[in-house]
Amino acid sequence: MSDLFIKTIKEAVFLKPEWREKLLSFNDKITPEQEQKIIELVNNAREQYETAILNMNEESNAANKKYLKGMEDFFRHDVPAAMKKVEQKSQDKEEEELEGILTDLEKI
Amino acid sequence: MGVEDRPQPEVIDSPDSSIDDGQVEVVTEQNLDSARETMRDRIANLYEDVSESDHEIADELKSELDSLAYNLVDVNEQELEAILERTESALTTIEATFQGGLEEVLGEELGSEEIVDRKPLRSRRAERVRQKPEDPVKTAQALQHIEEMSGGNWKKIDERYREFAELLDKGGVKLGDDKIALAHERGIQAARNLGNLGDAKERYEAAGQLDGAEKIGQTIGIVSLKVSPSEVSGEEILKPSLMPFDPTLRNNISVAQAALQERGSYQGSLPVGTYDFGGQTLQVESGGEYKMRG
Repeated sequence: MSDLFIKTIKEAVFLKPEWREKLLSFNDKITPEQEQKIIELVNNAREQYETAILNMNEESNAANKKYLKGMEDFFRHDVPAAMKKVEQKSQDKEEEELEGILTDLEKI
Repeated sequence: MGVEDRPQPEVIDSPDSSIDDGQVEVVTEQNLDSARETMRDRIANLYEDVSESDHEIADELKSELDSLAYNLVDVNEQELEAILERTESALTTIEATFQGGLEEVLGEELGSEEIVDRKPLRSRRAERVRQKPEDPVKTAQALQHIEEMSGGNWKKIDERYREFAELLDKGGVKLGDDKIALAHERGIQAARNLGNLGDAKERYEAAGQLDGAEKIGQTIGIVSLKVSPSEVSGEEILKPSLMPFDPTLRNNISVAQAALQERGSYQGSLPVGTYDFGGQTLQVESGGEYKMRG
């Protein structure tokens, strides 16, 4: 078993520990050609794994940034708009009450 | 009270002044936590301020703002879940390609164990679940499931536990530790009584009872067995060389035998020991994983 093979497997932390052990346990069972092919498989898989995890982190980050931006908009626009809306309702209610009082007064 | 007398909303730049689109490289979990807290506090403060003069208007304002805030959370949740699902699927593909290549090189089947370490995915998922704000409806549903986990109908308790665990996994359920512990305990009892020791082990782990999980783990292996329909006859397709004394282990074997008879396949735990599986010898060792076709 070549040093390169051992190094490649030991550094392949994207594989579960028991699988790294399993690959290392092949020891004298595999030929140099098989070793070379396994090294290629491990390197390819590692590259793809790292890309997948990087994509996940970048996409999650983008989604969270969008969420924070949404919160910012919430405070900048949604809260004032909601306040304005309830203000208007309150004002209408007060005007209605005043109107009622005036009507009652007119009746007296 | 006139418009000018009402408390005016405070416009803030951002929940965290360092957060500005395009400038921040990494959105940390602390950023999100602090942003959510700020949002909750601001809504509560506005409610209190307005409520001093008009309860009805304050309720209306709170309901409107809560709904907008929940919507923001929902969209974020859905996006993050979709990202996790895509990553999970990518890792499964990588795993299958790697295993296929390895089997080709070695000229032998390598079983069905998980090869690729999914810790980054799991920690992100766990973090997401932890952060999820409480959903009172889900909490009420979870409580209902716990209440229905009483009595001795293990099948029903098992079903309720699965529903409970699914709710818990998705997040938004906030219960006391005692309630959660009770649910896990009932789930463990149900799995043991139904002979699903693999499930029992997982439930011990979920309950944080690692000793219990280890103890069960030592008595079982995980198998994936398949038989062709022509092999399924009145005779038992899976015969242990020695039937265990422990009723839970015996039950586990009966469950596997019944599944093979009924569906022609069984995937789950099997007590450690030697079996005759359709004329072949199956040696199950503690913690081992086996794939066999009868």
